[in-house]
Amino acid sequence: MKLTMPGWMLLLLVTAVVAAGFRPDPAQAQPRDAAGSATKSEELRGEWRRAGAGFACVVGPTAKLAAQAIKPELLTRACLHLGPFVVGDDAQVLKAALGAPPRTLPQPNGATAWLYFLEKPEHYPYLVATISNNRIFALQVTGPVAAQGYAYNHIDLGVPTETLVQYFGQPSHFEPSEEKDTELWSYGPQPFSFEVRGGHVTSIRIQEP
Amino acid sequence: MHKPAILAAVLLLVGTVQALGFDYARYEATDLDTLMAQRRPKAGVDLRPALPMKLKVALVAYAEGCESGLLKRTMLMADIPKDQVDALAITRCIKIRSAKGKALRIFIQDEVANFLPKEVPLGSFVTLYVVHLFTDPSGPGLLVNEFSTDSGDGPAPAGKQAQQSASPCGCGTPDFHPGTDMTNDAEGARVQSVDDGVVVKIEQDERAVVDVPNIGRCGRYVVIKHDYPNGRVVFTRYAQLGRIVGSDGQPLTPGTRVTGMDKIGEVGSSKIMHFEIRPVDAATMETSADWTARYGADSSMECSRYPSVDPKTFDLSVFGVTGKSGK
Repeated sequence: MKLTMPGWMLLLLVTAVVAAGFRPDPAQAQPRDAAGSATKSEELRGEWRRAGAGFACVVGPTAKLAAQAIKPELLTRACLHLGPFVVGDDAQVLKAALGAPPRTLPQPNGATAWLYFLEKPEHYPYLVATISNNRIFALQVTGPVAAQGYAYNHIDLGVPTETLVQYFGQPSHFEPSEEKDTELWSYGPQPFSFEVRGGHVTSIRIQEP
Repeated sequence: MHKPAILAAVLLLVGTVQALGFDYARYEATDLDTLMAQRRPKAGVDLRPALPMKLKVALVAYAEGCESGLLKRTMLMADIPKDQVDALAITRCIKIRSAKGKALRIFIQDEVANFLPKEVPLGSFVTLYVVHLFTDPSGPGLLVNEFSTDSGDGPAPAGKQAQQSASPCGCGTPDFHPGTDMTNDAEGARVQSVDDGVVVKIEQDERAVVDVPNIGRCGRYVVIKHDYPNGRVVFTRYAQLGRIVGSDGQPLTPGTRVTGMDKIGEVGSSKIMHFEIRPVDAATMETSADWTARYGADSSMECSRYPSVDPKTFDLSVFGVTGKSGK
């Protein structure tokens, strides 16, 4: 699920165009900014929208954003938020917010998965962050019902697949997941995918484009 | 033709039809080999946007029962209303072959499938009007909405059959040539077996039944079955022959044991000998009910159960581990 460089450049362009006139939406600012940075809590939040057969990360517009504030690195992040975390951030952000991971699992290519239970230990929902070179490569939240603060692009855990299709359209690919009776819906080359079981979303994953 | 019977279904699938018939123009001519060469997922299903396509293919097998659950699911995912999808009867598949000889099973509406045997003989070419709904590891998932027996610009007049030119040697077609041709300046030149084996088939009739997908149009021919110590089996076929005689000048007969380099016939008047190698391989074995009905009781036609490989690149000595060159 790698986005090609030309595709990503186009995405940035689309994002930049619609970003003019943006003001951070307080309702979307996360209550716990692990890094304690004002910049993070006010940074751009984007939303994936269908653009023909593909997708565009659309930001704002709720107010004007100074032209000099529109930076590629900010635009890149706009659609890579899951909960208070952002794909590409330093892994220490996770530890600062959630502490040391109660479980870690080795992953291919030298990466490590950090697993955090979001409500009760050993229960759903849980968050898995894939860490590579001390940065967050991927974020995935899993569970049968909504995890507070972890909706992604209008999609909460537990929503019907009709809601997923409403916002993302049909997947470009689906296949059986490693989980029993579960399907993986992907939208390659976009950086997001979902698991569905029994007509409901049970997992949301985003990763580095 | 059967257009009125399937018009409703066509409406569902392509959205627009001409006022009084099937909208052939909406189906874009597509090469099946190109379609089959497209990337396939290693697992799961890639959804396709139900593109209408026109394919010219050889018909290998009439409708066989097949599970259409996945097809209908992908139709729903392509935003075709559920009540309309439910109303479509799709319980069968047909088997087709591309210009390069690649076989594919595709879905067909039952209404259309009912007419196919009445209008298209097995082995002949047909233009199919299909929609491409998905691709999975086995290839493209296609649904046949309509067919015609002409060049694909619309239905043919009643009784008109597609005319197919043979390849230069007479076997197959310009686009489908299962084997290789060898030329010799002299009619009557010796044709010999490539390896030890048993003669299993002799066709003396130059106008033997036409069955392009399985055996081509190949005039007089000989088939030899080679059993190797490693358990592998391969058939070789020598076609467009003149006389079919052994070294002693006597007619060759089925059951005759030959050794490599034994004479099995002579080059015919075309001075071309068409040669095929058909390895026995469970993975490529023809299993359709149509093949069984046609040849199942005739052991001499077993060779037609396996596709021909390229004799220029296939090494019999490696396949059979005989330690000697088979060519």
